Amino acid sequence: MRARLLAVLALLVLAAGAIVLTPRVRECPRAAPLDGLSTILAGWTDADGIPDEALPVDPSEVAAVRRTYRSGPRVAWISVALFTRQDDPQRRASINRIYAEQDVSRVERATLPAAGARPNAVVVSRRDRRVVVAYWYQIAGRTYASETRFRLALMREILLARRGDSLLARVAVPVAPDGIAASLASAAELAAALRLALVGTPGC
Amino acid sequence: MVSTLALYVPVLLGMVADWSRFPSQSHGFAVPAIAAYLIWMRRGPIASAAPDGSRATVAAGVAALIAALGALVIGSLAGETFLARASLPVALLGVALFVGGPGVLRHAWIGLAYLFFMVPLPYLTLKTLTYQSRLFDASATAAALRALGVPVLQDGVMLHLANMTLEVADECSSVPAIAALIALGVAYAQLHPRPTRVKVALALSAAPLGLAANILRLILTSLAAYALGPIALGNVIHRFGGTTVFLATILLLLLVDRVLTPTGPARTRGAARARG
Repeated sequence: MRARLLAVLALLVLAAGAIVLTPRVRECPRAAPLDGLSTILAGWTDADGIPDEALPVDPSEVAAVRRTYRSGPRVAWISVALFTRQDDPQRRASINRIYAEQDVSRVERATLPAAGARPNAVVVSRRDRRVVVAYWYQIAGRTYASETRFRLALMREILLARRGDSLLARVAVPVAPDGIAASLASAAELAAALRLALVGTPGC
Repeated sequence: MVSTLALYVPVLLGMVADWSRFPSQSHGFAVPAIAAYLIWMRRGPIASAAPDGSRATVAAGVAALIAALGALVIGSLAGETFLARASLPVALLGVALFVGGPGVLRHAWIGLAYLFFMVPLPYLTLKTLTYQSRLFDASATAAALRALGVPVLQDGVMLHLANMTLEVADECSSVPAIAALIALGVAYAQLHPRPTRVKVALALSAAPLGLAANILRLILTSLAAYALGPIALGNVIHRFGGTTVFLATILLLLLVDRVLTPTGPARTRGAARARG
Protein backbone atom coordinates (compact mmCIF):
# COMPACT_ATOMS: atom_id res chain seq x y z
CA MET A 1 0.00 0.00 0.00
CA ARG A 2 2.75 2.44 1.02
CA ALA A 3 4.75 1.68 -2.13
CA ARG A 4 1.71 2.30 -4.28
CA LEU A 5 0.99 5.62 -2.60
CA LEU A 6 4.60 6.66 -3.21
CA ALA A 7 4.26 5.60 -6.86
CA VAL A 8 1.12 7.75 -7.21
CA LEU A 9 2.93 10.67 -5.61
CA ALA A 10 5.87 10.26 -7.99
CA LEU A 11 3.55 10.29 -11.01
CA LEU A 12 1.81 13.42 -9.73
CA VAL A 13 5.15 15.17 -9.20
CA LEU A 14 6.22 14.20 -12.72
CA ALA A 15 3.01 15.63 -14.18
CA ALA A 16 3.36 18.84 -12.15
CA GLY A 17 6.98 19.15 -13.28
CA ALA A 18 6.02 18.72 -16.92
CA ILE A 19 3.41 21.47 -16.61
CA VAL A 20 5.57 23.92 -14.68
CA LEU A 21 8.95 23.38 -16.35
CA THR A 22 7.89 23.33 -20.01
CA PRO A 23 8.97 26.59 -21.70
CA ARG A 24 6.21 29.13 -22.26
CA VAL A 25 4.68 29.56 -25.68
CA ARG A 26 6.52 32.32 -27.53
CA GLU A 27 4.78 35.59 -28.23
CA CYS A 28 4.55 36.58 -31.87
CA PRO A 29 7.72 38.67 -32.45
CA ARG A 30 6.03 41.01 -34.91
CA ALA A 31 2.60 41.56 -36.37
CA ALA A 32 2.03 39.67 -39.57
CA PRO A 33 2.49 41.66 -42.77
CA LEU A 34 -1.23 41.46 -43.39
CA ASP A 35 -1.36 44.95 -44.84
CA GLY A 36 0.77 43.63 -47.66
CA LEU A 37 -2.19 41.62 -48.91
CA SER A 38 -2.72 42.44 -52.57
CA THR A 39 -5.33 45.07 -53.30
CA ILE A 40 -6.31 43.18 -56.44
CA LEU A 41 -7.48 39.58 -56.07
CA ALA A 42 -8.62 37.74 -59.20
CA GLY A 43 -9.94 40.94 -60.70
CA TRP A 44 -11.55 42.17 -57.48
CA THR A 45 -10.23 45.55 -56.31
CA ASP A 46 -10.35 46.81 -52.76
CA ALA A 47 -11.53 49.72 -50.68
CA ASP A 48 -10.68 49.75 -46.98
CA GLY A 49 -13.18 49.03 -44.25
CA ILE A 50 -16.20 46.78 -43.92
CA PRO A 51 -19.32 46.92 -41.79
CA ASP A 52 -18.81 45.10 -38.48
CA GLU A 53 -22.17 43.42 -38.84
CA ALA A 54 -20.95 41.61 -41.97
CA LEU A 55 -17.84 40.12 -40.36
CA PRO A 56 -17.61 40.79 -36.61
CA VAL A 57 -14.34 41.94 -35.06
CA ASP A 58 -12.84 39.51 -32.55
CA PRO A 59 -11.28 41.29 -29.55
CA SER A 60 -8.63 38.55 -29.38
CA GLU A 61 -7.16 39.33 -32.79
CA VAL A 62 -3.69 40.85 -32.66
CA ALA A 63 -3.64 42.23 -36.20
CA ALA A 64 -6.17 42.23 -38.99
CA VAL A 65 -6.89 43.49 -42.43
CA ARG A 66 -10.53 44.15 -43.31
CA ARG A 67 -11.47 45.25 -46.77
CA THR A 68 -14.32 45.63 -49.19
CA TYR A 69 -13.57 44.19 -52.63
CA ARG A 70 -15.58 45.00 -55.74
CA SER A 71 -15.79 43.44 -59.16
CA GLY A 72 -18.23 45.28 -61.39
CA PRO A 73 -21.57 45.30 -59.59
CA ARG A 74 -20.46 42.54 -57.23
CA VAL A 75 -19.33 43.35 -53.71
CA ALA A 76 -17.60 41.18 -51.10
CA TRP A 77 -15.99 41.72 -47.73
CA ILE A 78 -12.87 39.99 -46.50
CA SER A 79 -11.19 39.80 -43.14
CA VAL A 80 -7.85 38.18 -42.31
CA ALA A 81 -7.02 38.21 -38.61
CA LEU A 82 -3.96 37.04 -36.72
CA PHE A 83 -4.29 35.30 -33.35
CA THR A 84 -1.28 34.56 -31.17
CA ARG A 85 -0.46 32.75 -27.90
CA GLN A 86 -3.51 30.54 -28.30
CA ASP A 87 -2.39 28.24 -25.51
CA ASP A 88 -4.47 30.74 -23.56
CA PRO A 89 -8.10 29.94 -24.46
CA GLN A 90 -9.00 33.61 -23.93
CA ARG A 91 -6.77 34.58 -26.87
CA ARG A 92 -8.26 32.16 -29.37
CA ALA A 93 -10.42 33.04 -32.34
CA SER A 94 -13.96 32.84 -31.01
CA ILE A 95 -16.37 30.64 -32.93
CA ASN A 96 -19.06 33.11 -31.87
CA ARG A 97 -17.49 35.89 -33.93
CA ILE A 98 -16.95 34.24 -37.28
CA TYR A 99 -20.23 35.63 -38.60
CA ALA A 100 -22.90 37.86 -37.11
CA GLU A 101 -25.14 36.01 -34.66
CA GLN A 102 -27.38 38.79 -33.34
CA ASP A 103 -30.97 38.56 -34.65
CA VAL A 104 -29.99 35.68 -36.91
CA SER A 105 -32.90 33.40 -37.75
CA ARG A 106 -31.03 30.69 -39.61
CA VAL A 107 -27.47 29.50 -40.27
CA GLU A 108 -27.25 26.93 -43.04
CA ARG A 109 -24.20 25.01 -44.17
CA ALA A 110 -23.38 25.58 -47.83
CA THR A 111 -20.93 24.13 -50.32
CA LEU A 112 -18.88 26.43 -52.48
CA PRO A 113 -18.69 25.47 -56.16
CA ALA A 114 -14.94 25.05 -56.13
CA ALA A 115 -12.60 22.22 -56.94
CA GLY A 116 -10.06 20.96 -54.44
CA ALA A 117 -9.93 22.00 -50.81
CA ARG A 118 -13.07 23.95 -49.94
CA PRO A 119 -13.38 26.38 -47.07
CA ASN A 120 -16.29 26.22 -44.64
CA ALA A 121 -19.31 28.08 -45.93
CA VAL A 122 -22.54 29.12 -44.28
CA VAL A 123 -25.51 31.17 -45.36
CA VAL A 124 -26.56 33.49 -42.55
CA SER A 125 -30.15 34.78 -42.65
CA ARG A 126 -30.66 37.94 -40.66
CA ARG A 127 -33.92 39.82 -40.84
CA ASP A 128 -34.47 40.36 -44.57
CA ARG A 129 -30.78 39.93 -45.51
CA ARG A 130 -28.73 36.87 -46.32
CA VAL A 131 -24.95 36.65 -46.47
CA VAL A 132 -22.66 33.84 -47.61
CA VAL A 133 -19.65 33.55 -45.30
CA ALA A 134 -16.70 31.37 -46.27
CA TYR A 135 -13.91 30.90 -43.75
CA TRP A 136 -10.84 28.86 -42.95
CA TYR A 137 -7.85 28.80 -40.64
CA GLN A 138 -4.19 28.91 -41.51
CA ILE A 139 -1.17 27.79 -39.50
CA ALA A 140 2.23 28.47 -41.01
CA GLY A 141 1.06 28.16 -44.61
CA ARG A 142 -1.23 25.16 -44.03
CA THR A 143 -4.97 25.78 -44.29
CA TYR A 144 -7.76 24.06 -42.36
CA ALA A 145 -11.47 24.20 -43.08
CA SER A 146 -12.46 21.79 -40.32
CA GLU A 147 -12.62 23.35 -36.88
CA THR A 148 -11.62 20.04 -35.28
CA ARG A 149 -8.60 19.52 -37.54
CA PHE A 150 -7.55 23.08 -36.90
CA ARG A 151 -7.74 22.59 -33.13
CA LEU A 152 -5.71 19.39 -33.36
CA ALA A 153 -3.10 21.08 -35.57
CA LEU A 154 -2.96 24.04 -33.20
CA MET A 155 -2.51 21.68 -30.24
CA ARG A 156 0.34 19.94 -32.04
CA GLU A 157 1.94 23.30 -32.88
CA ILE A 158 1.65 24.48 -29.27
CA LEU A 159 3.00 21.26 -27.78
CA LEU A 160 5.85 20.59 -30.19
CA ALA A 161 6.90 24.00 -31.48
CA ARG A 162 5.63 26.07 -28.52
CA ARG A 163 3.99 28.42 -31.01
CA GLY A 164 0.32 29.29 -30.96
CA ASP A 165 -0.23 31.56 -33.97
CA SER A 166 -2.85 31.22 -36.67
CA LEU A 167 -4.81 33.24 -39.18
CA LEU A 168 -8.57 33.27 -39.60
CA ALA A 169 -9.57 34.23 -43.14
CA ARG A 170 -13.18 35.10 -43.96
CA VAL A 171 -15.00 36.13 -47.11
CA ALA A 172 -18.57 37.44 -46.96
CA VAL A 173 -20.79 38.01 -49.98
CA PRO A 174 -24.32 39.40 -49.67
CA VAL A 175 -26.91 37.20 -51.35
CA ALA A 176 -28.30 39.02 -54.35
CA PRO A 177 -32.03 39.02 -55.09
CA ASP A 178 -31.39 36.86 -58.17
CA GLY A 179 -30.37 33.89 -56.09
CA ILE A 180 -27.74 32.29 -53.97
CA ALA A 181 -25.80 30.47 -56.71
CA ALA A 182 -24.15 33.67 -57.94
CA SER A 183 -23.16 34.63 -54.37
CA LEU A 184 -21.67 31.21 -53.70
CA ALA A 185 -19.72 31.46 -56.98
CA SER A 186 -18.42 34.92 -56.01
CA ALA A 187 -17.40 33.69 -52.56
CA ALA A 188 -15.62 30.69 -54.08
CA GLU A 189 -13.78 32.88 -56.59
CA LEU A 190 -12.57 35.36 -54.00
CA ALA A 191 -11.79 32.68 -51.41
CA ALA A 192 -9.58 30.83 -53.88
CA ALA A 193 -7.69 34.03 -54.72
CA LEU A 194 -7.32 34.93 -51.04
CA ARG A 195 -6.03 31.48 -50.16
CA LEU A 196 -3.38 31.79 -52.85
CA ALA A 197 -2.43 35.26 -51.63
CA LEU A 198 -2.12 34.03 -48.04
CA VAL A 199 0.00 30.97 -48.72
CA GLY A 200 3.16 33.00 -48.20
CA THR A 201 1.81 34.67 -45.07
CA PRO A 202 2.76 32.45 -42.17
CA GLY A 203 1.37 34.84 -39.58
CA CYS A 204 4.43 35.63 -37.51
CA MET B 1 -6.64 11.34 -3.51
CA VAL B 2 -5.76 14.60 -1.75
CA SER B 3 -2.45 15.01 -3.61
CA THR B 4 -4.25 14.27 -6.90
CA LEU B 5 -6.77 16.99 -6.13
CA ALA B 6 -3.93 19.36 -5.20
CA LEU B 7 -2.41 18.91 -8.66
CA TYR B 8 -5.78 19.77 -10.15
CA VAL B 9 -6.27 23.02 -8.20
CA PRO B 10 -5.81 25.30 -11.27
CA VAL B 11 -8.20 23.10 -13.27
CA LEU B 12 -10.77 23.14 -10.47
CA LEU B 13 -10.50 26.92 -10.10
CA GLY B 14 -11.14 27.30 -13.83
CA MET B 15 -14.22 25.10 -13.56
CA VAL B 16 -15.52 27.05 -10.57
CA ALA B 17 -15.12 30.25 -12.59
CA ASP B 18 -17.17 28.74 -15.44
CA TRP B 19 -19.87 27.47 -13.07
CA SER B 20 -20.16 30.98 -11.65
CA ARG B 21 -20.13 32.74 -15.01
CA PHE B 22 -22.57 30.55 -16.95
CA PRO B 23 -25.94 29.79 -15.33
CA SER B 24 -26.30 26.68 -17.52
CA GLN B 25 -23.15 25.26 -15.86
CA SER B 26 -24.06 26.19 -12.31
CA HIS B 27 -25.10 22.61 -11.49
CA GLY B 28 -21.32 21.99 -11.34
CA PHE B 29 -21.33 23.33 -7.79
CA ALA B 30 -23.67 20.54 -6.69
CA VAL B 31 -21.86 17.70 -8.46
CA PRO B 32 -18.85 17.31 -6.09
CA ALA B 33 -21.20 17.32 -3.09
CA ILE B 34 -23.45 14.66 -4.66
CA ALA B 35 -20.37 12.62 -5.66
CA ALA B 36 -19.08 12.82 -2.08
CA TYR B 37 -22.49 11.74 -0.78
CA LEU B 38 -22.62 8.78 -3.19
CA ILE B 39 -19.23 7.64 -1.88
CA TRP B 40 -20.24 8.32 1.74
CA MET B 41 -23.30 6.12 1.26
CA ARG B 42 -20.97 3.25 0.38
CA ARG B 43 -18.27 3.99 2.95
CA GLY B 44 -18.85 0.67 4.75
CA PRO B 45 -18.22 -1.64 1.76
CA ILE B 46 -15.36 0.61 0.61
CA ALA B 47 -13.61 0.42 3.99
CA SER B 48 -14.04 -3.34 4.23
CA ALA B 49 -12.98 -4.12 0.65
CA ALA B 50 -9.93 -6.36 0.58
CA PRO B 51 -6.91 -4.88 -1.23
CA ASP B 52 -5.91 -6.74 -4.38
CA GLY B 53 -2.28 -6.87 -5.39
CA SER B 54 -2.70 -8.74 -8.65
CA ARG B 55 -0.52 -7.63 -11.53
CA ALA B 56 -3.54 -6.95 -13.77
CA THR B 57 -5.09 -4.61 -11.21
CA VAL B 58 -1.85 -2.70 -10.73
CA ALA B 59 -1.33 -2.40 -14.48
CA ALA B 60 -4.88 -1.21 -15.14
CA GLY B 61 -4.75 1.33 -12.31
CA VAL B 62 -1.37 2.72 -13.35
CA ALA B 63 -2.44 2.84 -17.02
CA ALA B 64 -5.56 4.84 -16.15
CA LEU B 65 -3.59 7.22 -13.93
CA ILE B 66 -0.84 7.76 -16.51
CA ALA B 67 -3.42 8.34 -19.28
CA ALA B 68 -5.25 10.86 -17.10
CA LEU B 69 -2.09 12.71 -16.11
CA GLY B 70 -0.95 12.72 -19.75
CA ALA B 71 -4.28 14.30 -20.70
CA LEU B 72 -3.85 16.82 -17.88
CA VAL B 73 -0.37 17.80 -19.07
CA ILE B 74 -1.44 18.09 -22.73
CA GLY B 75 -4.63 19.92 -21.84
CA SER B 76 -2.82 22.35 -19.52
CA LEU B 77 0.01 23.13 -21.92
CA ALA B 78 -2.19 23.44 -25.01
CA GLY B 79 -5.04 25.26 -23.30
CA GLU B 80 -7.49 22.44 -24.05
CA THR B 81 -9.52 22.88 -20.92
CA PHE B 82 -11.99 20.05 -21.57
CA LEU B 83 -9.16 17.52 -21.88
CA ALA B 84 -7.56 18.70 -18.64
CA ARG B 85 -10.86 18.80 -16.78
CA ALA B 86 -12.17 15.44 -17.97
CA SER B 87 -8.92 13.80 -16.86
CA LEU B 88 -9.74 14.42 -13.17
CA PRO B 89 -12.38 11.68 -12.71
CA VAL B 90 -10.19 9.28 -14.73
CA ALA B 91 -7.21 10.04 -12.47
CA LEU B 92 -9.30 9.43 -9.34
CA LEU B 93 -10.66 6.17 -10.76
CA GLY B 94 -7.08 5.14 -11.57
CA VAL B 95 -5.90 5.94 -8.04
CA ALA B 96 -8.84 4.04 -6.53
CA LEU B 97 -8.04 0.96 -8.62
CA PHE B 98 -4.26 1.17 -8.19
CA VAL B 99 -4.24 1.83 -4.45
CA GLY B 100 -7.50 0.24 -3.29
CA GLY B 101 -8.02 -2.50 -5.83
CA PRO B 102 -11.14 -3.70 -7.63
CA GLY B 103 -13.06 -4.10 -4.35
CA VAL B 104 -12.80 -0.37 -3.61
CA LEU B 105 -13.44 0.60 -7.22
CA ARG B 106 -16.61 -1.54 -7.36
CA HIS B 107 -18.22 0.62 -4.67
CA ALA B 108 -16.53 3.96 -5.32
CA TRP B 109 -16.78 4.17 -9.10
CA ILE B 110 -20.25 5.66 -9.25
CA GLY B 111 -19.26 8.57 -7.01
CA LEU B 112 -15.98 9.18 -8.82
CA ALA B 113 -17.45 8.81 -12.31
CA TYR B 114 -20.27 11.16 -11.28
CA LEU B 115 -17.65 13.94 -11.30
CA PHE B 116 -17.79 13.87 -15.12
CA PHE B 117 -21.03 15.81 -14.82
CA MET B 118 -19.21 18.83 -13.41
CA VAL B 119 -17.08 19.15 -16.57
CA PRO B 120 -18.62 21.59 -19.07
CA LEU B 121 -18.85 20.17 -22.60
CA PRO B 122 -16.40 21.51 -25.19
CA TYR B 123 -17.83 24.79 -26.43
CA LEU B 124 -17.68 23.75 -30.08
CA THR B 125 -19.86 20.71 -29.35
CA LEU B 126 -22.17 22.70 -27.10
CA LYS B 127 -22.66 25.43 -29.71
CA THR B 128 -23.52 22.96 -32.49
CA LEU B 129 -25.92 21.02 -30.27
CA THR B 130 -27.50 24.22 -28.98
CA TYR B 131 -28.24 25.55 -32.47
CA GLN B 132 -29.78 22.24 -33.57
CA SER B 133 -31.82 22.18 -30.37
CA ARG B 134 -33.06 25.74 -30.99
CA LEU B 135 -34.28 24.73 -34.45
CA PHE B 136 -35.96 21.60 -33.07
CA ASP B 137 -37.56 23.48 -30.18
CA ALA B 138 -38.82 26.20 -32.54
CA SER B 139 -40.27 23.61 -34.96
CA ALA B 140 -41.98 21.66 -32.18
CA THR B 141 -43.38 24.86 -30.64
CA ALA B 142 -44.64 26.10 -34.04
CA ALA B 143 -46.31 22.75 -34.73
CA ALA B 144 -48.01 22.79 -31.32
CA LEU B 145 -49.19 26.38 -31.76
CA ARG B 146 -50.68 25.56 -35.17
CA ALA B 147 -52.43 22.55 -33.67
CA LEU B 148 -53.88 24.87 -31.02
CA GLY B 149 -55.16 27.23 -33.72
CA VAL B 150 -52.58 29.99 -33.20
CA PRO B 151 -51.32 31.44 -36.51
CA VAL B 152 -47.52 31.30 -36.56
CA LEU B 153 -44.80 31.54 -39.19
CA GLN B 154 -41.54 29.80 -38.32
CA ASP B 155 -38.34 31.15 -39.85
CA GLY B 156 -35.47 29.11 -38.44
CA VAL B 157 -35.31 29.98 -34.75
CA MET B 158 -37.78 32.87 -35.11
CA LEU B 159 -41.48 32.44 -34.43
CA HIS B 160 -43.55 35.19 -36.04
CA LEU B 161 -46.88 35.52 -34.25
CA ALA B 162 -49.62 37.87 -35.42
CA ASN B 163 -48.66 40.46 -32.80
CA MET B 164 -44.94 39.91 -32.21
CA THR B 165 -41.84 37.89 -33.08
CA LEU B 166 -40.23 35.50 -30.62
CA GLU B 167 -36.71 34.13 -30.87
CA VAL B 168 -35.78 30.75 -29.42
CA ALA B 169 -32.47 32.05 -28.11
CA ASP B 170 -29.48 30.05 -26.85
CA GLU B 171 -30.69 30.30 -23.26
CA CYS B 172 -34.16 29.10 -24.35
CA SER B 173 -32.82 25.90 -25.92
CA SER B 174 -32.93 22.60 -24.09
CA VAL B 175 -29.28 21.70 -24.51
CA PRO B 176 -27.69 23.83 -21.77
CA ALA B 177 -30.03 22.17 -19.28
CA ILE B 178 -29.51 18.63 -20.57
CA ALA B 179 -26.20 18.02 -18.76
CA ALA B 180 -27.71 19.23 -15.49
CA LEU B 181 -30.80 17.10 -16.01
CA ILE B 182 -28.82 13.95 -16.80
CA ALA B 183 -26.75 14.58 -13.65
CA LEU B 184 -30.00 15.01 -11.76
CA GLY B 185 -31.42 11.77 -13.20
CA VAL B 186 -28.32 9.76 -12.31
CA ALA B 187 -28.21 11.17 -8.77
CA TYR B 188 -31.92 10.59 -8.26
CA ALA B 189 -31.61 7.01 -9.48
CA GLN B 190 -28.76 6.35 -7.02
CA LEU B 191 -30.35 7.89 -3.95
CA HIS B 192 -32.58 4.94 -3.14
CA PRO B 193 -32.03 1.24 -3.69
CA ARG B 194 -33.82 0.22 -6.89
CA PRO B 195 -33.54 -2.52 -9.47
CA THR B 196 -30.74 -1.69 -11.94
CA ARG B 197 -33.14 -1.48 -14.92
CA VAL B 198 -35.12 1.23 -13.10
CA LYS B 199 -31.92 3.14 -12.29
CA VAL B 200 -30.87 3.03 -15.94
CA ALA B 201 -34.34 4.05 -17.13
CA LEU B 202 -34.46 6.99 -14.71
CA ALA B 203 -30.99 8.17 -15.72
CA LEU B 204 -31.82 7.90 -19.42
CA SER B 205 -35.23 9.52 -19.14
CA ALA B 206 -34.01 12.76 -17.54
CA ALA B 207 -32.79 14.28 -20.82
CA PRO B 208 -35.94 13.63 -22.92
CA LEU B 209 -38.10 14.71 -19.99
CA GLY B 210 -36.12 17.94 -19.77
CA LEU B 211 -36.52 18.46 -23.50
CA ALA B 212 -40.27 17.93 -23.25
CA ALA B 213 -40.52 20.25 -20.24
CA ASN B 214 -38.62 22.98 -22.08
CA ILE B 215 -40.82 22.71 -25.19
CA LEU B 216 -43.89 22.89 -22.97
CA ARG B 217 -42.46 26.06 -21.41
CA LEU B 218 -41.88 27.56 -24.88
CA ILE B 219 -45.44 26.71 -25.94
CA LEU B 220 -46.91 28.30 -22.80
CA THR B 221 -44.73 31.39 -23.24
CA SER B 222 -45.76 31.71 -26.92
CA LEU B 223 -49.43 31.31 -26.06
CA ALA B 224 -49.13 33.97 -23.38
CA ALA B 225 -47.29 36.28 -25.81
CA TYR B 226 -50.00 35.73 -28.42
CA ALA B 227 -52.76 36.48 -25.93
CA LEU B 228 -51.18 39.28 -23.89
CA GLY B 229 -48.34 40.69 -26.03
CA PRO B 230 -44.77 41.52 -24.91
CA ILE B 231 -45.82 41.86 -21.27
CA ALA B 232 -46.11 38.06 -21.19
CA LEU B 233 -42.35 37.71 -21.61
CA GLY B 234 -41.92 39.09 -18.10
CA ASN B 235 -43.85 36.20 -16.59
CA VAL B 236 -42.43 33.71 -14.17
CA ILE B 237 -42.34 30.78 -16.61
CA HIS B 238 -40.23 32.71 -19.14
CA ARG B 239 -37.97 34.68 -16.80
CA PHE B 240 -37.12 31.73 -14.60
CA GLY B 241 -36.96 29.29 -17.50
CA GLY B 242 -34.17 27.11 -16.10
CA THR B 243 -35.87 26.73 -12.73
CA THR B 244 -39.22 25.99 -14.35
CA VAL B 245 -37.72 23.26 -16.54
CA PHE B 246 -35.77 21.85 -13.59
CA LEU B 247 -38.86 21.62 -11.36
CA ALA B 248 -41.01 20.19 -14.15
CA THR B 249 -38.35 17.56 -14.88
CA ILE B 250 -38.19 16.55 -11.21
CA LEU B 251 -41.96 16.10 -11.19
CA LEU B 252 -41.82 14.05 -14.39
CA LEU B 253 -38.97 11.95 -12.96
CA LEU B 254 -41.03 11.21 -9.86
CA LEU B 255 -43.87 10.17 -12.14
CA VAL B 256 -41.63 7.87 -14.20
CA ASP B 257 -40.21 6.41 -10.97
CA ARG B 258 -43.74 5.76 -9.73
CA VAL B 259 -44.66 4.01 -12.96
CA LEU B 260 -41.49 1.94 -13.26
CA THR B 261 -40.95 0.93 -9.65
CA PRO B 262 -43.31 -1.79 -8.41
CA THR B 263 -45.33 -0.78 -5.35
CA GLY B 264 -46.03 -2.64 -2.12
CA PRO B 265 -44.23 -5.87 -1.29
CA ALA B 266 -42.82 -6.20 -4.81
CA ARG B 267 -41.19 -2.77 -4.47
CA THR B 268 -39.66 -3.77 -1.18
CA ARG B 269 -38.35 -7.05 -2.63
CA GLY B 270 -36.87 -5.16 -5.61
CA ALA B 271 -35.24 -2.70 -3.26
CA ALA B 272 -33.87 -5.51 -1.14
CA ARG B 273 -32.42 -7.21 -4.23
CA ALA B 274 -30.86 -3.95 -5.37
CA ARG B 275 -29.40 -3.42 -1.90
CA GLY B 276 -28.02 -6.93 -1.83
